Amino acid sequence: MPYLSAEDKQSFKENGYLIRHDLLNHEHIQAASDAIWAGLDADRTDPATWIGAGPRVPVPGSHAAIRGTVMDSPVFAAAEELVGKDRLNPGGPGPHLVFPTGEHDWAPASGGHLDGYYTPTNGVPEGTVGLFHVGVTIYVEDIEPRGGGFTVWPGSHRQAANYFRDHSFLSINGGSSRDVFDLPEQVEVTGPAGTVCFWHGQTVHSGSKNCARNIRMALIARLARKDLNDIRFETPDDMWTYWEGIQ
Amino acid sequence: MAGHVMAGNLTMNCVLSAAAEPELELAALLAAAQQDEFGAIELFRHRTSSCVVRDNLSVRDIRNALAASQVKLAAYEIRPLTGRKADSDERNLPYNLRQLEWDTHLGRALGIQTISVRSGTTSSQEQAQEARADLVEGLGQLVERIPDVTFAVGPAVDSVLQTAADFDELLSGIDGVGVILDVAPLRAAAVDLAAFARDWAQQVSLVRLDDGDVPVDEIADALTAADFNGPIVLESRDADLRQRVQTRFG
Repeated sequence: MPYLSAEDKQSFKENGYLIRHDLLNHEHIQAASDAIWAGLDADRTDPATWIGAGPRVPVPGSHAAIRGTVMDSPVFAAAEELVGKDRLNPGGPGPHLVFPTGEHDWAPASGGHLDGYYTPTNGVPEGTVGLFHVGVTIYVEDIEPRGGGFTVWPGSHRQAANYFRDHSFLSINGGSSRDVFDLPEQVEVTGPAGTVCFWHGQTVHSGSKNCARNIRMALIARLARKDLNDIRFETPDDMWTYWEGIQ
Repeated sequence: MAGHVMAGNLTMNCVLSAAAEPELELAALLAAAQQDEFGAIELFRHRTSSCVVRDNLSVRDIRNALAASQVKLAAYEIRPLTGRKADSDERNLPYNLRQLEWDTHLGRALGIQTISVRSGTTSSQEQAQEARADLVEGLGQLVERIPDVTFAVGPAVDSVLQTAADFDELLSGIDGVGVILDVAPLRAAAVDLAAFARDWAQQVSLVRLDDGDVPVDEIADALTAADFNGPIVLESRDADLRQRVQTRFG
């Protein structure tokens, strides 16, 4: 029984992202939330201590409860329904937290980026691009509007596919796409704990300022095809050539 | 491969290096190759205007340009194996190897099966010791991780791999790695080019010749005896050099 419908796949194909709220059960969410809280310098019962708390990565992605949100749930299988069965390398997510600022002057993200690009501090080797196929963002806390939500620019994956047919993957400095793409209105992903956003690896995205009460507790996985090294420089006319579930 | 001329028991693969015209972008380099009737070129990941990562060029653009010109890509050099981060000079072999793997997969996407690489330059005795260790370890890891290509390592000025003794020390114990007989840096280190050709003929994967003092006859004899059939890359458009190479190798 597949997890994604034809409508889900069509939505992903058109917009470059897909949101589902029913793939994780309470145990998955609770275990991941507990693991994160155990590593935070904040009182779980006192929201005042959540403002500007830390650390941003309170638990490694290798923690069983964190990895389990993708690999022990239907999430990985759903991602494979997009790319093709047995096509993706297994992989768990890592925590990406945005702490409340305590401020109220929220503003939309000023510009998005593509992942995998070198900056002097992010560990990506200079002159390389860390491509992947499916991004997965999982909320393990309720995220309301203006709460630091993961933000996407719908359709930007199609612009990227067009662009890279006649440009080097390295031509976007630091992954910053502001001057490269004609970006539409952004969408801030919100939803209850357990919300899962699948996004195309070349969808422009960003974080945003957290003016809400909750810590934005997101887990983000980047899943690549097993044959990535054989196809990482391919930019076919049909951008879905390597997405057997989408064709 | 284009540019082959079978003669005797040696296959002639004369290749124009982008280093011969470092200011030319890819289209102009291909035009130069056509003009000089080269069937193949050598490109670099870096250091020439025709390098393969120009902003306005995708891999498919490069493939299309090669196909349209009917000039093959016969040789490709990736960034140097330094064992260090270029932006901070910090020793970090895994970081450098990830760069070289990326460069190598780009070469694979262009259809290249022999990947050229050099050691990085060194500025101190301590760095040189680290560079030697990283060169041996790094080559070993690359060979293991990307088994469907052959890595060929060549000399570079001011690097830990320049003299005959450097080759003896560093490469004798590594299996599955080819050698680039690159006359310019070898000559700069006062290496006996004919002797080097004889000593390493069985492992030579690629030859780079310039228009300096090159013992073409002796090199050709050594490589012929070893049944060499790799690319002979010319780093000059000098007609005399081309004629000498074609006469002796062809």
